[in-house]
Amino acid sequence: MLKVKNLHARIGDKEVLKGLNLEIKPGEVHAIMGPNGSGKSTLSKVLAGHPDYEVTSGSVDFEVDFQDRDLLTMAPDERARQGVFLAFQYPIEVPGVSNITFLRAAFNSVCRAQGVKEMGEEDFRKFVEQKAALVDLNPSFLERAVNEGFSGGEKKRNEILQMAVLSPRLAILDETDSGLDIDSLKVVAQGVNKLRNKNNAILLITHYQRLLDYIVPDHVHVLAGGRILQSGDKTLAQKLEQHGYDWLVKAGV
Amino acid sequence: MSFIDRAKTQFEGRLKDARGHEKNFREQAWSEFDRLGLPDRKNEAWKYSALRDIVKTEWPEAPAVASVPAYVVTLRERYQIDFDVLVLINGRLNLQASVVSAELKPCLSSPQYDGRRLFEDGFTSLAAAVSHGGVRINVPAGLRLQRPVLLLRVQQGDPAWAAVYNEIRLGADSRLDMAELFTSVASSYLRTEISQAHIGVGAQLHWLRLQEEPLSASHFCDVDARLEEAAELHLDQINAGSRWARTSLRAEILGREAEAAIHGISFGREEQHIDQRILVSHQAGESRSSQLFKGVLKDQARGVVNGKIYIAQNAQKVTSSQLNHTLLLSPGAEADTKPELEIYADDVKANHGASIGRMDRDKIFYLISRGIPPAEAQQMLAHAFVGDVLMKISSRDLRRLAGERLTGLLPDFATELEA
Repeated sequence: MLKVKNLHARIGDKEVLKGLNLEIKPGEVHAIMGPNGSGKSTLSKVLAGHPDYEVTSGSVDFEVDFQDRDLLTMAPDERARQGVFLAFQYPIEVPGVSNITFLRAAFNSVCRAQGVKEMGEEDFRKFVEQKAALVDLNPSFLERAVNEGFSGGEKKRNEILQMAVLSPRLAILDETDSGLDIDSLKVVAQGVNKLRNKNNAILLITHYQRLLDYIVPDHVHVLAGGRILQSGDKTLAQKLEQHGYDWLVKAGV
Repeated sequence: MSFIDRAKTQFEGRLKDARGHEKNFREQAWSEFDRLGLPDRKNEAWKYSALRDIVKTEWPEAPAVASVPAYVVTLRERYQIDFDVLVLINGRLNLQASVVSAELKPCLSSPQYDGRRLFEDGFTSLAAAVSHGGVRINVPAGLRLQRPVLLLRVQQGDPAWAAVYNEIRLGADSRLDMAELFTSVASSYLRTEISQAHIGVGAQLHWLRLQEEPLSASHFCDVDARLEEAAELHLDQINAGSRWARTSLRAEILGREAEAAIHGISFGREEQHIDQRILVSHQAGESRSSQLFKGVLKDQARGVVNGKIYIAQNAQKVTSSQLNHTLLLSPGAEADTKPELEIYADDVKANHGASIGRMDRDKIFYLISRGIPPAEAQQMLAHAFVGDVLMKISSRDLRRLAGERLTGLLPDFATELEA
């Protein structure tokens, strides 16, 4: 579904990704772990198409309708409509735009792109209220401005609500566990697990192993210095938890 | 013939038929113009709105038109369920084409010219002296009109000058909810509208101005309202059209505990120039006023807000505020904001603030990362930016109308984002 080959990317003059390779197949959950500054968030922003990041070489193929497409030439909104979703590490507050207006605009944009009938206001409300229950968000959050005045946990749950509404084929969760207490973490993880199926894939980007107790990955990768140093199964995460990143980073050098 | 010669001929023609108050009104207006002349850039109030372009054309008087254009009928049919609709073509009320309830009918007449004759400057004096058409709405004491009134102000034929003079009179404890929609299919014309409002003791005037003229038109409007004790003026405007749009909104608070809330939204694009002047003068104590103006500007558009609060020495315990925020969507767009406070009383609250900013890239990216096309994301954010001004419209009917018109205007603001 996703093939990243020898990806180099920079922000400003600083090269952050230095030859990253990654392949994700439908139904898989991958976790990317790594120390601060290793390029984890850069990878997520590059995949989502953030304009501040520039890809200098390499390629990213994303399968659309059983055909590989060059993800990097697709506009960020087009990527989203084709099924790429980024749960932001720091979700943005958008005063003056209600959550339901935002969700419906996003949902209908995806419908239009995929040739599916758009949903009317009433139907959409029912649909989205079911999804809100999935992440234990009170329906009153739908009327509030997007993320405005939300607690850290509510913002993260709101990200997963958006994921539930858009049902992406590739969901990238960028440090979704950061700033969450254990109860919120469980709610978020349960929500994500309910959205897992054989057709979609999830890329978890995290600093800590804790999240992986609740969303169990099929593959774990260690990212350091802009490259993937080692890949393995979920036991790699446990090893990292015990020994830290140093032994790997040193071995990698 | 020059602009002024032509205006003079027009004035003399009007004067010939005028009697009593009207004759005095026109003569006084013309002599004011004679004394003051046309304002130039040295005149602070006209610094940003050069009249040069406008007086280059000799504008023939906009003629009386008997037929009602199809788009006006469409608009009337769309709104007549909720509003009494007055159709004014080239400033002249067409009663046959209007939808007037039995309650409103006795309130309507031609202007009586019996109000004060104080004009802001030479140009307004000139426009008053040559004015034609116009309407007077006189709501008697105690009558709270059930249905809101929509004035469809359209222009036919160009180039032409519709010089309009209106009077609004509200008796004690009466209420009028009124919206004016300025729109047209004509392209090159000049519209001057001078409206005088008198709001009696405890009366409420809810007034919405929707300026959607074509981008080649010139729109110069002057509102002069006076408020008696405990009277309320809620004056809201959306300025979206015209090459040159200049509105001067003045409220003079003469009675205690009166309130003037004057709010505006402006959308400027291409070469548009939107100049908004506001003056709230507190002559009586314990009165309140607020001004909130927000603008969204793109291309080479320029927006000016010059808001002034005046508080007389005897007007104690006044509360007033003045805010102006502008969002610039293009590097070529420009906003000028000039708040002024002139306060002689010592026990008052008056605050003001202004900001000019650009669209937040993070917000845009957040929206488009969910699949929303950039143009739509920008519209959503522009709408969100002005949303609080919309919410301040105190009359529910007028607020709904403003919301609907605003949604219709936003697609013109959808542009591809600059990197």
